[in-house]
Amino acid sequence: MRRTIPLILTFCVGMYPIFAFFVPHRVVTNINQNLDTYLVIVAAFALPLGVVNLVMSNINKIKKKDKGWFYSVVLIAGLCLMAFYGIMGGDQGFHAHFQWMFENAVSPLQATMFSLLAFYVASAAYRAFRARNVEATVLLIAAIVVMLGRIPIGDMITGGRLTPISEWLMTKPNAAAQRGIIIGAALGAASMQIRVILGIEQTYLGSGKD
Amino acid sequence: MAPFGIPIGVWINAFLTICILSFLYKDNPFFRFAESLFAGMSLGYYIGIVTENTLKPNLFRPMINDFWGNHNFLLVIPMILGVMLYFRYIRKIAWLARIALAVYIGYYVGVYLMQKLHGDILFQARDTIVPLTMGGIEAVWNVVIIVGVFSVLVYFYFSAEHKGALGRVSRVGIWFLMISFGASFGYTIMARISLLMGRFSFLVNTWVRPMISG
Amino acid sequence: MKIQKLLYIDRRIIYLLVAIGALIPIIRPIGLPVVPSAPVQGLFERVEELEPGDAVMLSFDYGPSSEPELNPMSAAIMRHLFMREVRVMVVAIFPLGGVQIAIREVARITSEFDLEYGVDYVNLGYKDGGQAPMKAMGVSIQDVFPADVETTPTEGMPIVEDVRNYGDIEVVITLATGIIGEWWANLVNAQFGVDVAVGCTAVSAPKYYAYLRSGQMIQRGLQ
Repeated sequence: MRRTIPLILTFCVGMYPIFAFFVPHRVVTNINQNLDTYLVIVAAFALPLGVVNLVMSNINKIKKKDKGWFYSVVLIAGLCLMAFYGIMGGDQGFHAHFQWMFENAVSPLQATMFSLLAFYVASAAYRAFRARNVEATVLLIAAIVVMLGRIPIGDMITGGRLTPISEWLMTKPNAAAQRGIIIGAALGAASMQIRVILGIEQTYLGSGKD
Repeated sequence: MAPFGIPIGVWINAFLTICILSFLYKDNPFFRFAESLFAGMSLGYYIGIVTENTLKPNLFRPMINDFWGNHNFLLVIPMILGVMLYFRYIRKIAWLARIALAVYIGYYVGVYLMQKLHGDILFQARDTIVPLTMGGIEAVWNVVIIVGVFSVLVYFYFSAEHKGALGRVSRVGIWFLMISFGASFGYTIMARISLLMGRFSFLVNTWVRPMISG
Repeated sequence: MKIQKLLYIDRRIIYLLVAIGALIPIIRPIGLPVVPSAPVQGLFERVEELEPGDAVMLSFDYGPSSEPELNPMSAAIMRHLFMREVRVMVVAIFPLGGVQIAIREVARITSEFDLEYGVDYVNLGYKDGGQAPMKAMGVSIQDVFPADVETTPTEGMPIVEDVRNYGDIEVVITLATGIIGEWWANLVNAQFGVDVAVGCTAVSAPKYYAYLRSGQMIQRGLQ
């Protein structure tokens, strides 16, 4: 029972957008529109779900004074500070402190964390990027042509000769390969979604037997 | 407060940037401090925007301002479903969370199914299966596209061993994939370097230069 | 042997070389010309075709990690749209920073023009749920955004009253990181028929060439 009802619900709610797609009658569309707008709200509740787990595990770490507990304090403090001003809001939209903390803390932290990848990708390329066989050579040449064909200095070096080759690589062989990947991945995703709607795939409901 | 004429926000910004970059030398307490702060503030930020931009305007305000008008009382349904998701943390009623989860997953699965079948497969296939009557070089390029798409799909067909004709076609698929991965790699390098330059540009132009020029 | 040695040099030396390479043009800009690629030109021409008063939806679907790539695009596109006297509806679907960047960038660019908020442009803010708000806007934008980013009710706002759904929008332009760009193409373009242009990060660009060929997108790519 505790499993059957959710499975029936998944089937009904999952089938509705498909039904609405093929039957664009006013009544059907209205219900579908309500479903869409309600799901905006449900998604707003659903997405911070992980926060609960993270907070509980970090509070446990602080309680037990585990190794690195100080960093858990930093994490919880950052979370509380940001969430407090976020929930409080301002007279006109976001609280000024919320916007300030975003600009001066969240933004540089996120941007710098991602910018580290520049170093790693360069280091990895330096060590691994070698023409070991025909396929690797094709990859290497495509990467170089695309890079030189896309930057102004590449135009200067090659007199603009690589730009059309690079454009051809992107719009023909690359687009063909990406199209193959898109179709293949879409077929895989669609089959998984059909399994979920039909109740064959149930892992999202958890492993409990009841 | 503005030490050396630089706003305090810029100092904090620069300090946190250097804390993260310090990891390149080796793991250290400054990096771990910044990393934990990043995780905490990102989640706090997320709670903030969810509340301010979705829950308040779409749920709380309509219900508080005019509960019975404009069918706002129906908003109780998504609110209950949303709250039910958190029942998973209360052992006795944890199973009720599955009902909310079923609606949430069911909806996105249905939407995504149409998005993939209609928006991806049909549109991409329609543009691949085209008559070769346009003549000239475009017809040749369309053959390239058809060969590329078909051979890549064959490469991803795992229900039979890639031997004989199947093996040869899938090998052509590998070549197409390698060109595409090479292009992706080239683009990725350029993208990552541009992110790094964004941070360096901040450090040099917003923090150091104004400090030197006073 | 020497090549082997070169292969195993300390990673920090490679990092240092990367850092120097990235720093030089910042300390002493070289000033190379930027040549627009064909798809960029395609979007430029699409915007040129717009009439004064036409409506465009501009979605800020990126966070701070993609700002160096996408901020110049958003600024160029906004300036072009406002120069053409096109009405702009700003939204954000990407959760980690999209709306904050939209607030800052929209304020920066609109201050260069003589525009009236709520008439010539509006910033509707962020909405959760990805595909859910994208789909719902096909029927009613006001259902999804009952208030703007400053909590002002959108009811009675001329631009929101006039532009009810995608049917009233000429082009959706998204500045997107990750998968959101393709959702605008394979959901919004495919199901509602509205033109979609994607200013994407370079990482996503190769994939988007397939959507570009199929006509589901107008623009993509670095530059």
